[in-house]
Amino acid sequence: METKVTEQQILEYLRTKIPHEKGHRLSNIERITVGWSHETWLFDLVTTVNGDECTLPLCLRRDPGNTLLRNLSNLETQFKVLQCLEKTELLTPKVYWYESDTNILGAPFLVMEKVSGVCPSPWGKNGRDFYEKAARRGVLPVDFSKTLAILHTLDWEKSGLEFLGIPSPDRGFALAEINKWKSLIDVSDHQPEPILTDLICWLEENAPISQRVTLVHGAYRTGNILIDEDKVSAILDWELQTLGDPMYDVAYVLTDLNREGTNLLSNIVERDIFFETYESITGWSIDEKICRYYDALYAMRSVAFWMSASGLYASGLSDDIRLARTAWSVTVVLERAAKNLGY
Amino acid sequence: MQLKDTLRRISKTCKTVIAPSTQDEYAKTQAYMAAVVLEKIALQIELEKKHELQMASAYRSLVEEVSLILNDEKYSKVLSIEIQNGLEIFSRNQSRSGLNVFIKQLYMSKETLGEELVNQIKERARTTMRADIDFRMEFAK
Repeated sequence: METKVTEQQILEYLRTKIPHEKGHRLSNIERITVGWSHETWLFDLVTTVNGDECTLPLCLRRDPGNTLLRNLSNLETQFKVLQCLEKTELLTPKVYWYESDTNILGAPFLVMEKVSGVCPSPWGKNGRDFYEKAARRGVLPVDFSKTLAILHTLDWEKSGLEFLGIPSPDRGFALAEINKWKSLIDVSDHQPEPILTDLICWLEENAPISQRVTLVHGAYRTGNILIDEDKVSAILDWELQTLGDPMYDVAYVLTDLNREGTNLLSNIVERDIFFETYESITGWSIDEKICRYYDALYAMRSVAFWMSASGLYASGLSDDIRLARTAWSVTVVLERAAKNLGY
Repeated sequence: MQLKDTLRRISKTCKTVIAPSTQDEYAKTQAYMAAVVLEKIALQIELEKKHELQMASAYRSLVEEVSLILNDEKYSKVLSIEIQNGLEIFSRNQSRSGLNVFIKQLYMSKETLGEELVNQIKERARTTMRADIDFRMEFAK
């Protein structure tokens, strides 16, 4: 169950990190309530240096221990990844501190820069309007596509990201992803689902050979990027990142899972513009057959998410009734998976 | 009053009385969501009996038809232990869980049964799985 964190506790911690400055206080505090991931607080740390007031915009993420991804996501890895990415041209928040000591705020947490920008949810009317208008202006669609190409072409070895684990050659990446989501399904304690078994067996039989290994974000879409003046100002949600086949991310952009009532990929970019921008920067051709395979893998991943979420409520690990609601989302995604398999 | 009707009453109370009078945003959302969940459970209870009866018949037909295919003399030499065990478990436990075991064993038997036979059985099993998911979609949407 949730341990509450107070503004005072956060402030006391920050005083230990920036002790030489005076008059610390927090302002513009905002607790982000969306998502079933790590808890997020946004605030400005106001301090006085030589009589002048300075503001440091910060973001604190805490692991309550009952997130949807359970042990598949941890803040320490997120911290290390963001540290590595700081040296690259990819736009990510600068990370300051990671604390595993649960005596400080009751759970592990990290503190990073609060980057300027907005991140409208693409699932609501306001968000859809925002992306539709941005799509018409034309700058963000290209920048969204370009940013993914930059992510895929960065030198992950030079950036020190090998610790994420290099997948075995050939079909190793796809099989590792299947195993990852199987492990989440297993801990969710859900009743057996023959459609899911059919899907997993099909995925195992048809796992594609990766053409190359790159950094993969794992959830690259609108809603997981910060936007400032029609440009991507930071890529967020570094929880599913891995080293593997870049087509995995491309498939997530192409999938209709990530667009509602629009033909725009990820609610923002026309298909032709995405293909043209991505292919011209990377120099690779998008393999649509492999993307369709990964789309089916995303169906499995979605089932794993919803089984995990509803399991958290059923087992008493979370009191959030929104999680109980996801028990029926399992059925919806299984229905989609059956369609993917041709029935 | 039946259980499903009681649940619907509670759902309505959550939606029209508790949620609107709750000040805290998080608690208000929880009350609205509780209304949605209770409504879904009520609908599931209402449709469950019909669903169970239809699926029992669908599983029975599937077991019979698959047994007929596999008991054909021409396949006697290719029958693996896995597929025989799978069918036996499914015959004894004609349910989603029994079918789940059978599907696993079917894929495991691909080498011995051959692709054509596996696909033939899989297509038949998929008809039953489609019927099941269509029923469930009535209260999942």
